[in-house]
Amino acid sequence: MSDRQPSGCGDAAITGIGMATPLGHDFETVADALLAGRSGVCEIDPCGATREPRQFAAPVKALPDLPLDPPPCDRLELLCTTTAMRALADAGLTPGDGCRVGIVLGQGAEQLKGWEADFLAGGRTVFEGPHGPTIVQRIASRLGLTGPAVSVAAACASSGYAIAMARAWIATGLVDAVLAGGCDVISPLGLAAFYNLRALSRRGDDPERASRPFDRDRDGFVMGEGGAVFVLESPERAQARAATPRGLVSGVGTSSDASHMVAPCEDPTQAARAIRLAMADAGITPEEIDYINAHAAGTPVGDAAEAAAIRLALGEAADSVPVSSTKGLSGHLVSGASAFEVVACLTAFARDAIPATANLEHPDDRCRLDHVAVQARPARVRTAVSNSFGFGGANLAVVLRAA
Amino acid sequence: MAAAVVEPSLASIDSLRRADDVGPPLPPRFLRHADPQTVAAVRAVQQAAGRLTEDARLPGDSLEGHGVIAAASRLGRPAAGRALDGFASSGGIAVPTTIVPQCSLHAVAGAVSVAFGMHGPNIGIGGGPGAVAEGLIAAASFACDPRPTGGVAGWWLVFTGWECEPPLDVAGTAAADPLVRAVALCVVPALAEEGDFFGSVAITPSGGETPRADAAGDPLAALAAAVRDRRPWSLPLPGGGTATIIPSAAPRRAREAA
Repeated sequence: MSDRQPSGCGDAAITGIGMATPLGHDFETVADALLAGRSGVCEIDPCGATREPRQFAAPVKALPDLPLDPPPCDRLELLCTTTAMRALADAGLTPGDGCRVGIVLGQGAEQLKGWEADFLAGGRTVFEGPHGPTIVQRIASRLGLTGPAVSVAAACASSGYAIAMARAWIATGLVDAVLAGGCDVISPLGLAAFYNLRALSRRGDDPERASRPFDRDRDGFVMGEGGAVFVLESPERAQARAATPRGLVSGVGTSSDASHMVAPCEDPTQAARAIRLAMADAGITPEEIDYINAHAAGTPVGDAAEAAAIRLALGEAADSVPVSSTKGLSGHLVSGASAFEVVACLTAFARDAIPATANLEHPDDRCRLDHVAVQARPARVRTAVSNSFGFGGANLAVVLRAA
Repeated sequence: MAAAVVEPSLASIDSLRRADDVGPPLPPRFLRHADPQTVAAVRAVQQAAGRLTEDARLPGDSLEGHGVIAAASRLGRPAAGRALDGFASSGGIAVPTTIVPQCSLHAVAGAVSVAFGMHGPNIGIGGGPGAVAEGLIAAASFACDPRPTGGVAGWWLVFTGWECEPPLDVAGTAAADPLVRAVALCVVPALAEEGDFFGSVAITPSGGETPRADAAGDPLAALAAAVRDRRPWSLPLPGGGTATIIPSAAPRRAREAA
């Protein structure tokens, strides 16, 4: 396949952020936690999901308290709605009044989570219905959005694909601004399914040290919860209304492994291709990348494959481009992961420092990279790449630039 | 137009899992745990891809350079029902490992990508009653704008759903025998440069009233009928504007170009 890509989409400015994450619910709190190495992982009630004596995860604590009428149907809708509302408020944007705002959220398993929440509350929707509109449709209605409302799914890359679609909408003039991102929730069924797949870490004796991306002793990922929603608009429109962008989405690259529905692909070709396509789309060379936020979730095969992909995509520059995975602190937010990791890149822009990979004490020889391990590294970061890889072989890389 | 409609009854899904259909072969037992919508979708793409290859309409027989956008509606209900019932009675150990990869919204797109070796993007869309409209918007966003097509040689647009949402018992078994519907069509941007389309999707903005989501009745049934008849088809979009699919059966110049 050709690596010709430039989409011509140009930059999309990030002018608002709403968050609900294991590390906090606003940009400054989350940035502080990322750079200080504060973990969001803790012991949770497993609700019978696993056979472990102690189950752990990185939940959203102290849920955002916004008055919502009508009340959200479930926790996922609550998180998505509050983050969307906070993003609009952060951007100082009011839908309507000639401003056509769309919404596209990464929702990998909204229906599954909705049926489960209803079932565990004594309902029978999964068996009998009714099946109402999706969360994005309900948010669009609640907030009076007049642009398109779309749910997009690419497993762990879902919210990254949402950002990619939003950028295309802005480029084609379909909307003036877009709410884009995604959230996910920890649920007993999801926890059980990933546990049974042997995808989760079983380091129950030390939860905060369980998520160990790129470490030789990693044994799986830690479920996380929450995510982020951004307001994206054209830089020209942002400038016209005197909005201050936190960063720019400058390039996107996508590909598929076409290898297996679940197992990570050990061949790095397609993942590397997504990274190269994103660089080509943004018009940058490997030497211009100041930071890579890796997908690395802490799985034995996935982390090694990603390290190989980074080396394949960047060539010799891989020796000197700092890499970290923030999943060591946040856990894996699944559908919300890509969006949260954009926040990690924006943190690097804003604070002139790169968040570290927590618990990376003994880097795996198969993951040889310029790791930012354990402690944040001071650095002027103007260009960052965020990788996301998911079930079904979905690969995505996003190039972000400081505004 | 390179397209196919597959509409099996739920009772015949198991035979469709095993059927060796026309078109590129599938990996062994690939559809064993797949949701009925995924089974129908993969068979629809297989049929349409078989026609593509037969007619030599592609620049090469491989689908390697293709991507897939799959809009599903309430995918995975039967398996989700069984898993929840099992969880309630036996705990987490009863939850099958297939529930996430086969019942999440990206399952159809992922399966099509893996089944046919497509290395372009694979994207799931929708999930609810507006899935067809959302799929068309996604197609216009990723597949049919001339700028972001990039290195993707062809896009498969796949739409799936039930003819009528079936009630299930606690074992996830449907009381009736409804139809599962899958529509697959291929858009080939590379051939568009030569003036030929296998199909195109356009979004026309409108300043008028926002149409109701159900303004077109059952959009999946209407789309299936249009694809069978090879005629243009439009759908008012919930966010305003109209999406139009324009079929084309003119392969001659494309074949020459290939």
